[in-house]
Amino acid sequence: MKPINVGVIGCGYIAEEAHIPNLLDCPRANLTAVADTNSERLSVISRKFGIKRLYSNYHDLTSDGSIDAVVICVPTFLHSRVAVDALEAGKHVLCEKPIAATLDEADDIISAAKKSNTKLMIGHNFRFLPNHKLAKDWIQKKKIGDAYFARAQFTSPGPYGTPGITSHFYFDPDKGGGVLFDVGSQLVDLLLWMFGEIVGVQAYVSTYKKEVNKADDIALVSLKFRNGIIGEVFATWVSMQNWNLMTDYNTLQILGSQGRIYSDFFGPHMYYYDEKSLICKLRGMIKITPAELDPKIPFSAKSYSWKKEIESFIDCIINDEEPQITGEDGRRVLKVILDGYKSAKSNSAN
Amino acid sequence: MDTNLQKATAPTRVISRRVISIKDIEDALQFSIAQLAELEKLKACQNIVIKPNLCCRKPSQSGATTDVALVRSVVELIREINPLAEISVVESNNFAIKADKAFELHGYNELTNKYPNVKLVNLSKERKYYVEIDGHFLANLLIPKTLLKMDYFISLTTLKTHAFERISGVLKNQFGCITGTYRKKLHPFLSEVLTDLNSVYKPNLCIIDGRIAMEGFGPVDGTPVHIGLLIIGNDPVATDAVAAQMMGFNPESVPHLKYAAKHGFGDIKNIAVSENVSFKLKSVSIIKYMGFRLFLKFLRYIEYLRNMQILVRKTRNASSTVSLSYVWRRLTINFVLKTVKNLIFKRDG
Repeated sequence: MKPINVGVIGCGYIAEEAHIPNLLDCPRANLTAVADTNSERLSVISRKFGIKRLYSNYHDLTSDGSIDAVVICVPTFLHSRVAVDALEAGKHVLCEKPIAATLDEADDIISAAKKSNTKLMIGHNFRFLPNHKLAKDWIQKKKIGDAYFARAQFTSPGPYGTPGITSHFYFDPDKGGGVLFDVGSQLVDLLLWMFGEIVGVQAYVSTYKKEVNKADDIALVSLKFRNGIIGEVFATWVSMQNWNLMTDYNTLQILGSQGRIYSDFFGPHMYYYDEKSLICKLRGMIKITPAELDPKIPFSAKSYSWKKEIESFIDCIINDEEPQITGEDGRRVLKVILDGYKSAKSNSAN
Repeated sequence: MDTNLQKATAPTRVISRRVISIKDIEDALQFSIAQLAELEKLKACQNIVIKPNLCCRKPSQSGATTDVALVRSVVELIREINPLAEISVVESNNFAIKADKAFELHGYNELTNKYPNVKLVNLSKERKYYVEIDGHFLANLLIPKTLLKMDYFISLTTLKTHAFERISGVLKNQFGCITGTYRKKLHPFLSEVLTDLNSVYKPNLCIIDGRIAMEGFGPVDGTPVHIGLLIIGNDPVATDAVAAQMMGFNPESVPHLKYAAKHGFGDIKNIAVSENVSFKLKSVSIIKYMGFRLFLKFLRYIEYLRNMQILVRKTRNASSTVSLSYVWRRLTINFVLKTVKNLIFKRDG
């Protein structure tokens, strides 16, 4: 079968770390070109990955007839402009999270995808972690009884991890900056995927590094789902630089009427307790790993989820299926995030 | 303080009963479940797992495998107590026989036909999960789905000698819950492995079928002996210790029992037995046993050579002298080693 020719627009951190290496690894994809306005970044990427076709204007890439699909890794406020252009040019699009900075922009992207009859997938990669898949499967099978509370928390240095950055879209609330947009959208998507529609949002956001950041870097969101489940999302960039010290904190915790699940973002394993299981009665909470992932082999959750995301995107184009994370999913997440900011604003006014 | 002291020194109860007919078995089971206070637990359970010992092709009359009649009695009793419970009869593939074949050969398939809530589970074919157990020997254990969700576990084994461990009882029966080919590599560390296994799969009810026991070259090639006894307990170590005592062995001389008791996994001394029966089962030394196994392998090897000779004769259509010389030429050291290895590990294909 002919591999899918893919181009990457935007050569920032996420493209360099996640998308370009995994596209090169995927046998069904053929990474042919990259585009970025920054010529320095272009030459770095070209040297590192050996990509020959470099564009300084993304329009040149979208008008390239040999390219079937594009991966959009530009700042959030540019998502709609680039995605709509790419979709109108007939390219399939994998857009980094969140889908856009406003709901109108998200609607534009979704309608462009419908009009051009192309695939649109949003890069909420946390869904592809095996422990999250297992957790969702077990919640649906009621292995912990009826789930009633879920908490997703994630801390990472984010843009603070790169010293010297002072002006960045991440720090501008009008350009889709802030930790709730960045990490919060991932966690909200995870809970939406597991528990369904959200009917109530309450949030608090705060800024610790006020000298550089005009947006937020600490965010707490409480969610009420239609089925009665209460959820909570906590995300921050104010984190220790050494991630190893924070791994046990980056977790998804789900409480059920007869047990609990405690899933680690950075490992293949998840902790599980079912009050009826004889093994849990004997040993308490057990650390469990799906058999296809050997617990002895060090496992990088981030790179694994990106790899699976790319494979899923390429497969949905080849098999002409609906993407696993549709534009509507991305819009639902964006609505919760914007509702959260609205709620945070009214909460701070009080 | 006094009550605590009493609790600490209260002996573990193990029930032994002489049984002849199926009716006796049912009575003994009913009596034991009431005496061991397991009735309420059984009523509250949903997923009950029964683990018989189906380690080889030999029928239950040889004393090597669990009789399906006993499993049927247990199933009927559970259905009386808790009609809604799902009962899984489990076994895994071993290098002597595949579990599915064992179920068919030993007549377990009739259970699924007769009782709708009973299913036979081949643990080797099930989806498995690594569970960190951080035990004496095992760091992780691959646990099949059925065993992960079970809420009541019945270990049902036979009374037989074991050349290395002296007895093969309830603790040893859980060795059959290990799936995969790495099982044979764990044999040299049986004491530690069995303690680890039983800390995960601790049976709620332990039943040792001593109606036909096995002595001599156990656990597979021994001689059947009619004893007519059923030993039932809810502590695997105590139940095994009683079985060992009755068979004429000091429980302290059984390596895995001694190890389990030493690490606080059960009691081998402070046990109250309802009916003390004693008999003597012959056991063999490890050297004799190994010699016997080697002799068996030798016989099989001779048979193999004979078959090959016949095959060569047929295919080459030559005289026996030519074929023998052909066999002799092929008898390199590597060939012999490979053949012996195949005979030891893959005798049932």
